[in-house]
Amino acid sequence: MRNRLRVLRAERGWSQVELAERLGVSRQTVNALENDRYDPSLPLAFRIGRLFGLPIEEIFLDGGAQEEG
Amino acid sequence: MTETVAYRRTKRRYVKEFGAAMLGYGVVLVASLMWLEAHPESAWRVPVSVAPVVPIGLALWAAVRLFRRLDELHRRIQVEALAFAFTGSALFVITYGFLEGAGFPKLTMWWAWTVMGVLWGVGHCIARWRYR
Repeated sequence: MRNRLRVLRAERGWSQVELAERLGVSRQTVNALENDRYDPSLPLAFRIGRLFGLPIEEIFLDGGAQEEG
Repeated sequence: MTETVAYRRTKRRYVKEFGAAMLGYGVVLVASLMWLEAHPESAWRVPVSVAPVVPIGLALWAAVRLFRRLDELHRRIQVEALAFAFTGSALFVITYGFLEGAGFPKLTMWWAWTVMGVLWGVGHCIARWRYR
């Protein structure tokens, strides 16, 4: 699943460590999310949404829906 | 690259807890071996022989505590590493069991843990690389 995490983080001028601190995860987790190597759990996805003030579907792009459509 | 304060603290706590358990293991092992040499016929021989298992149990408890403190990605990495070690060890034990039937020397039980430990480390490196 692709996401806009790197762009959203850059817009706020945060480093990966800063974002990780705010989300309560490790820097490697943020890095894996940004590189589309790891899909977060629903609770973490909701935390990300709350942090950026956006609904989940505006951060995470549902590739499956595009294929089905 | 640097890590978050919480993650570094988690790792430091694990190193402290695991290190203390291993230090305890060393002390109990040496004491156990010395006692067994001095009292070869004692009725306490069996419990003293297995006494080093207690600090090993504490080391495992430290590993479980680490697992509970990890975030979701690192838990997944650990699960993949353990799955790699479990299946790899099973493969080794079964294969070597057949080889013993073909005349290879008998190995002690120590080899099972050694192989599992090494494969856990290898599996951890592979999983970390996958989620780099």
